[in-house]
Amino acid sequence: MSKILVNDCDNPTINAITNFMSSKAEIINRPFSRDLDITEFDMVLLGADGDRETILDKLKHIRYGARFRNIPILLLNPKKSRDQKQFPFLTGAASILSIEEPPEALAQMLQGYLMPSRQPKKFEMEYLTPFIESTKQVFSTMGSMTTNYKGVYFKNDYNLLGDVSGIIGLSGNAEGMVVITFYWDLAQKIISSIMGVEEEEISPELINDGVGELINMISGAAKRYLSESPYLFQLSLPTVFVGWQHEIGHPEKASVAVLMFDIEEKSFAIQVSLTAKDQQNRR
Amino acid sequence: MGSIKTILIATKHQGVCRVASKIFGSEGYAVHPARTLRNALVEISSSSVDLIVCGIDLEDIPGILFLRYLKNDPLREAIPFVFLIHQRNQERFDVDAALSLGAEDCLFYPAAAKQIITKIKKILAEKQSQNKMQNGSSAQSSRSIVEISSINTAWVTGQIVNHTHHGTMIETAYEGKSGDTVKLKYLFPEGVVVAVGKLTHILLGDQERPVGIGVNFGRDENWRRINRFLKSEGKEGRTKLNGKSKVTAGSDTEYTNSESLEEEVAPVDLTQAPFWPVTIETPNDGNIWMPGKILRYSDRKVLVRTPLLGKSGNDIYMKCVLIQGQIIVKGQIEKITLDDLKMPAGIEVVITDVEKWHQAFDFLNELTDTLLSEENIQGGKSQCRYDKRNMETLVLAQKPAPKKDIKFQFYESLIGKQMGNYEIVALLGAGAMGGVFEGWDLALERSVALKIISYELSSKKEFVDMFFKEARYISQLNHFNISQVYYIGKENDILYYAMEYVQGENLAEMIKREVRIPAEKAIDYLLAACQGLNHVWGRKIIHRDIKPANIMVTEEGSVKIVDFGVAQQYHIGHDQCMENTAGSPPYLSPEAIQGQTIDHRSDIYSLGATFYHVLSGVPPFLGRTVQDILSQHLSVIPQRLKDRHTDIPAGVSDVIEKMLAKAPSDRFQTYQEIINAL
Repeated sequence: MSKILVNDCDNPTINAITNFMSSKAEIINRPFSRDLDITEFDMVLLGADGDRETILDKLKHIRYGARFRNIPILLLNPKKSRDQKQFPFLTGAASILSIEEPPEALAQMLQGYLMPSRQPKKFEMEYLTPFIESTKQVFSTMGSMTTNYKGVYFKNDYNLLGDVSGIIGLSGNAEGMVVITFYWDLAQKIISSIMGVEEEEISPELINDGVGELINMISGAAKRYLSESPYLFQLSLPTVFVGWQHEIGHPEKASVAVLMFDIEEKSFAIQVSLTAKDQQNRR
Repeated sequence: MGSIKTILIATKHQGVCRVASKIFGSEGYAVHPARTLRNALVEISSSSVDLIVCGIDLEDIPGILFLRYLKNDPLREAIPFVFLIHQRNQERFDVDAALSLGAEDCLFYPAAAKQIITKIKKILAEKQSQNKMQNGSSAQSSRSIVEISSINTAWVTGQIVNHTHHGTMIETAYEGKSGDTVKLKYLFPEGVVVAVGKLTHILLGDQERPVGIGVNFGRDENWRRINRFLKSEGKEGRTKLNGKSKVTAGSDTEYTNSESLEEEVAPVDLTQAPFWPVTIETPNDGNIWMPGKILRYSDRKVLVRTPLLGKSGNDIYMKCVLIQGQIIVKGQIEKITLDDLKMPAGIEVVITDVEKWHQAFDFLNELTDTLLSEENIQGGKSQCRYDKRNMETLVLAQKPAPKKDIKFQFYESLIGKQMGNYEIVALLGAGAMGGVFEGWDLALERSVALKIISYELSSKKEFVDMFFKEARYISQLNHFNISQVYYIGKENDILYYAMEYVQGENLAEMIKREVRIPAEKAIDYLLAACQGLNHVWGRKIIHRDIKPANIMVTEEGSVKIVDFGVAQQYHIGHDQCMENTAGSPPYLSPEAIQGQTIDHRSDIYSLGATFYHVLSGVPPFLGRTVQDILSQHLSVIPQRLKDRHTDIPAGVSDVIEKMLAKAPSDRFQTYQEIINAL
């Protein structure tokens, strides 16, 4: 049974959710906490009855607690006025629902969000596996760090926000891009380890060089794995972005696999979007 | 109405635009809408705008700042400006501030349209008579003649040869030395303006006599006004004055006159501005553009805040959107700062493409003149109110919030999920009925199109019953020109069906790309569609939503009719369906609009309307509202295709005309008749 975490919702809302979802999911009601690890949940419902700054702050912390997992965060608004609340999408909320919606419609929306993610197809694992292996290998050799691969899902919405990202374009027989995304705490640790400097010595140029080199090496190693496959590509120059909880967009209709990794208690993600020119035949 | 013809409606609110268009349109004025500052300025530049009617906000700037901007612009300040504000916003709107900035009036609606028109007519009439009075003096104002004087000396006449935001070159016999403070007097129609600057150099002619001077005015407000006016009068060429330039203040170094004006001016700080007026993007190796905000700029350097990192010495390109279009300026990263990990980096760029940068520089200067005024930054009560709103506008402009319909979000949430035997791969499109996805059939390992019915419909029991009943009939359709339904299912209360995945382009996309589809090709498509629909009719089914978007042309050129989401089967023992109106207004048959019983001849009408659009590039009827379009379907005969486009064969035009007959009995009675006629 799925687990839904309900945060800071009023009693009528909790009762309504329990009424139409209790047969389909376990509802766990807890007050919001900044340091909560929410990876055990399948969905978070956050009460949206508050001022903008407070909601945004809560969303940010829930997103950190989700650790790049595919956990939809939905805002529950007591009233139907959604227009004033478009802003949370910038911070990763999947949707804003009103408890005033018809219960059937609301239940169906929630069930839609709870549906299981699709599993990668065989041909997709053909190009994803080299990226998983190369990531483990690069972190091990460059930073003496052990990475644990935690699984893959396909990105369905703009909900993967990071603080530092390295991006590299792929072109050739296969085209697409690879993005590595961290939160600051892990990024600093990794850059410090890879570049051999103390965390407080990290400069913008070291971030640019460190993250750029990391994504370049991961993609380069994957390229070698894939050299005999239809997924043959050339690498562009890496580009590094910074900014609190930014989102990397992808071409419309692109299928984007998110590979989740943990290093001890911290997480990072690698997004791979790759299409072989003869992909239709491969299906 | 005299010579007044064009009214610009500047507002982000479609409602205001609708109200104003209706009121002014009915009086015979040409109405031009604009939702952003840029659009409004483009309209003003490209059309002869006689009156601006402004709502409380544009998308990127409050109406009051738009007014301020225009009233600081000599070219546009004379255009009468009126606010049209909804009464519910009366509290938010500072009428006194608007009037003191130069608005002619503030009108509140809903008020009687007649009252609004009367006021507008009065304003326009007053403005017209003022213009007539001023015309007599306008000839003089367009000249670039100035008078120059150092402090306490007599005035000498000169003519401006070239000018920038911060300085000018003047052809004059004025004598002086570099570093002198000079006054420049310029005669505007409304009076004399004096700018004060520093003499930077003197140009000497053949006889070593002064022939011109260069003056730097720094941030002198009066000079900026003169500069803007001269630019608006088309006197902004970079003509050189022949002569050699001499800096006389303790230096014998000689410069060309163009070089001497290139001293870097003090940078303009935008960090306290209510919002950054342009969006700048910074790419790396030309393929990834990221948003940036200008924090500070001068004529040589820019400090940009952007998520993009880089290294000192790297080239960087900045895409600047100006009124006249987009330009790309090249620069080099001088320094990167990352003071706060929660903020994007600050990148200092030295401009290497100076000529191009000047265009952006001038544009920024013009905007910042308005936006950085004292009142805007520190100012009074009325302006403070806008600051926060502007910051919000900025945030949205930098990373546009996807303003998603809740249904669209629901569809997006399904991507990457699994429904029964099908994986949802990508969202292809969404309409009133539901979303269409590319899916993958796990068992048969093939692509499918998945139609997921909107939660609004699928939560209605009567719809669910109808859906399953009709879907069973539709799944029996098996024809080359029909996208076949493979499966109908319900997963977690979500209704869906899987159908043949057609790779190609629908006719709506094709029209968008080609505007008109050549008759020969269109006839082939029409014949194939008739064959498909003949099969549908043979199974006693009506499609009910024939339109360009529902006729696909595959990559191999075959035609497939898709989306049987609202199709119905005739009731047993009848040859007609009881209609509950479905379909798209531009293609709906008269009987469907009226809610009468319909049969396949309703599909024939919709097919006729579809191919009218395909052949001519426009649907048979256009209108401002759905009601306008529907009423034309009922009573107006569309213009004949062969009259619209002489290259359409008369026979084809006649066939479409007959398909579009108002009475079903006047149309072709079978698809075979259409095929024969074609």
